[in-house]
Amino acid sequence: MNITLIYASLISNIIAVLMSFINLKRSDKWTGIIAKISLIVSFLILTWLIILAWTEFQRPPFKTLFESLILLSWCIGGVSIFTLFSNRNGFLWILTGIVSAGALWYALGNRDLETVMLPPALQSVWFVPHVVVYFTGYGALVIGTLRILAEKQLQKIFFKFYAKDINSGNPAITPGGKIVRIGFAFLSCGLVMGAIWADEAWGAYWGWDPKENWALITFLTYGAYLHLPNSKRGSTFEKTLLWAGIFTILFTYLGMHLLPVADESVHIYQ
Amino acid sequence: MQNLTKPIPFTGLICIIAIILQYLLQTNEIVGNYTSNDTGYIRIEQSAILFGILTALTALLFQFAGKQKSLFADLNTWSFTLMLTLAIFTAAGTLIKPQPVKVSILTNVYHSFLYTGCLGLLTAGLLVAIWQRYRNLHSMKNYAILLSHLGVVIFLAGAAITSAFSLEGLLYLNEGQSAKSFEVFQHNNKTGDSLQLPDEIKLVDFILEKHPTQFYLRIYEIKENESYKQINSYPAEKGMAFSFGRKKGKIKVKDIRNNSKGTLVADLEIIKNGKSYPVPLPATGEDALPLNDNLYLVFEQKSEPKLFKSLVEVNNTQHEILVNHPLKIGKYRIYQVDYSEEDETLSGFQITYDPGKTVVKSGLGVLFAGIILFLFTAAKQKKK
Repeated sequence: MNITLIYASLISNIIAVLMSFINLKRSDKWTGIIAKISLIVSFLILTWLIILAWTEFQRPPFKTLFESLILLSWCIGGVSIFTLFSNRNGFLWILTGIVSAGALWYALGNRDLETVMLPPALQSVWFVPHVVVYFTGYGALVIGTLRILAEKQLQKIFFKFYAKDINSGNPAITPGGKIVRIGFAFLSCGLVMGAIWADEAWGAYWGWDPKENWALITFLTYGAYLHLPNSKRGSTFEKTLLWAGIFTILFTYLGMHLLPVADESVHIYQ
Repeated sequence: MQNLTKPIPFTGLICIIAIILQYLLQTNEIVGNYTSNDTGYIRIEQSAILFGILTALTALLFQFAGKQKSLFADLNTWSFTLMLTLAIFTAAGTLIKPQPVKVSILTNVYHSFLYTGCLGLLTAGLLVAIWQRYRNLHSMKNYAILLSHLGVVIFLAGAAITSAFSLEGLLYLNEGQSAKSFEVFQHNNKTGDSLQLPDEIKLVDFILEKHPTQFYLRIYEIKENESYKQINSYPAEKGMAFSFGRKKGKIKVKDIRNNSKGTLVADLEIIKNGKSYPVPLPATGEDALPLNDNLYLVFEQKSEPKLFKSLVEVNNTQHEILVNHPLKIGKYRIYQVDYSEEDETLSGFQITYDPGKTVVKSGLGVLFAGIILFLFTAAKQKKK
């Protein structure tokens, strides 16, 4: 994969973060426009990188941890572009920029040492839709959750000066709440596609594989969050649940090798 | 806190009933290397009962504190509690290695009465939610919620049928070999049995295609606990050079050739401390060349399967079975799942029968429709 393009996208994300930050403070037109353009440029660079890698490897470049981190950054970019049409998402772009740049930075430290081929099980029409939909779900859930948490937890410290970007009240109608709902829909879609694919490949739509189980845990945690009784909205319990949500996503994605049952999984990144 | 207490007594009740049932239904049959009389198991069993009793007592305590009036008074609380309970149990299941006996929640979480009990209670909540939405179908959003919840209920119904009646078996055949039966490895009470196929299956040909073999010079770091980690890898090509140990040493590949035994050998030049050493390194993957105190160089090959497929004959008709492309014979589906590096004529099949699959797929379809409708509603709201 072209490392220069990864650095270019990373820098573009950093510019987007800085410009969004300044824009929150100053509310001028140009910083907002530069932030939006930087996010779009970063997304386009990654799109080009993925097309190049796809052509070079002659397979979808979504197989290894390194490749999946690039995809995650691309999906987060897609989510942020979805929010570009609204002018009240300045803080959201800071978050997408930071998380997207973080994923690219982590990818740079975990580059593939060797060319990896696609095993027969992954040679399926479900591979690309399942992975892309899942990572879009992951990206949206992380961004949405961080947005809600930032509203709630950092309000007093951080948003003293930037109160204009804050929505108080029912989290379900805040930008963060909306993105979590959309992310949950994508996550559920990814689970459905994964089940259909597993049935085609192994003859069972669910195999109690550790990775599958943790995907279910993520689904249940966010499902529980969406069914949180109104009396609990805004409580410490809600914040804990949201942090637990982020933990389940990160652990499902990166922590599977730590489990005592890791050797039973067919889904863990090598 | 009051709102959170309502479903807890029922979860607790299910918990204690499940554990007692599990204890009563448990037999002393020997499965694998374990018997339920093993001390370890008795300890686990006791822990499970203790866990159940404690949960039930806590639940009863909350029952008094909550003064609950109606079971589904707060449906969100009901669903929320059960989903969180299931999430915790699912996580616990990945921390406990399942044992090859039917014992308790602590030995096989996902097939315990407690886990399925919680799923049952969640289904009850889902049915009530569906009924409530059905009586209030005035918006697109309600249709989306109705469909997605209905999809999950249909899926769970299918999963219950799968859990009760499905079976999985294995069949290994060499080219030219045929079979009329297979061995069951997963079923409620037929595990280990041999079952008849509706027709004889004959393996005519097995094709194993591999990606081109790649040769790598890999550098491994040996750690203090004697574990090792691959820290770098270079495709082995004549004329290439790379450094190691924070650029203190350098390796040049002078030639790649076959030795008299037919083994590929890399003729290397190691440059270290201003001196140069010629080293021939064979691609056996076993000869490790020490580079310094903790770095080793190994010449290894990588050969990965690209495709494996079986040409089989059933009832005088030939069929292909590939990964992701199973074959249906009667009520059974035959999947290509395995091959052997040692015996390239051997093909491994998984044979499944699952009467719940159609219901499951219908549920997934309805759920998918609900999700798409939800996303459509969200996009429409955004436009407004």
